[in-house]
Amino acid sequence: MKKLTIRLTVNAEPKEWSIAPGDLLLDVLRHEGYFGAKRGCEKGECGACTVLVEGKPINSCLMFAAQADGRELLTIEGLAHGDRLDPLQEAFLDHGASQCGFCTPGMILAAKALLDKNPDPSEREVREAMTGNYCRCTGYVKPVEAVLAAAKVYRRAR
Amino acid sequence: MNTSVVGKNLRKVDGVKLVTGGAAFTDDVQLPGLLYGKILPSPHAHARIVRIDASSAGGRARGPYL
Repeated sequence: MKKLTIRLTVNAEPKEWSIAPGDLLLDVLRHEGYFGAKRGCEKGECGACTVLVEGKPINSCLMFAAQADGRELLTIEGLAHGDRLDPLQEAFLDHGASQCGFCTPGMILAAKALLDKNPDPSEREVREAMTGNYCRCTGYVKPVEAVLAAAKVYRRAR
Repeated sequence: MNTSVVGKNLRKVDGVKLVTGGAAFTDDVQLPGLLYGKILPSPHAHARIVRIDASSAGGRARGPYL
């Protein structure tokens, strides 16, 4: 299979990866060690593979890696700054919003895309922004609470 | 009996791993020599498996077959 090279930025680090034209972004990310992007349904339903591409939440199982050429990506591994967690991560911990944790990276990234755009969302807007992220453990009440709590911190930081 | 945690919200012991992408689920574990499985359904109902023709896998498929 013919290989091609993509250059992109992942978590503020420049990367150059050799990929096949049909490789999915999710597979390439996991192959490169970004296991925080989870393989859930592989058909764009569950949101566990969510990463941010240019700040937008994307199901990485539905995007070709080749389409990420020249783009800026954020995965869950790049959200904290060293030991300093993002307010969303702190809020998920404080609100018990993570049970098994499989959906957590996708949920947090979807929420980050929302709060970066709108740090004062209504509960309805939070729920809408996270409709693409399924939780199969416990439900959505605590994640929604966590995002609303984190929003306050995002607003203060502005 | 230590009841110091009763009635308190505590963070999960594995919480930080879960919110930073550091937690390893089964599919995140990679071991040397890891085998990948594929289900090949029989085209015949109630048949006995005599042999498995894996030639369409281009010679890349190898046992063990279960």
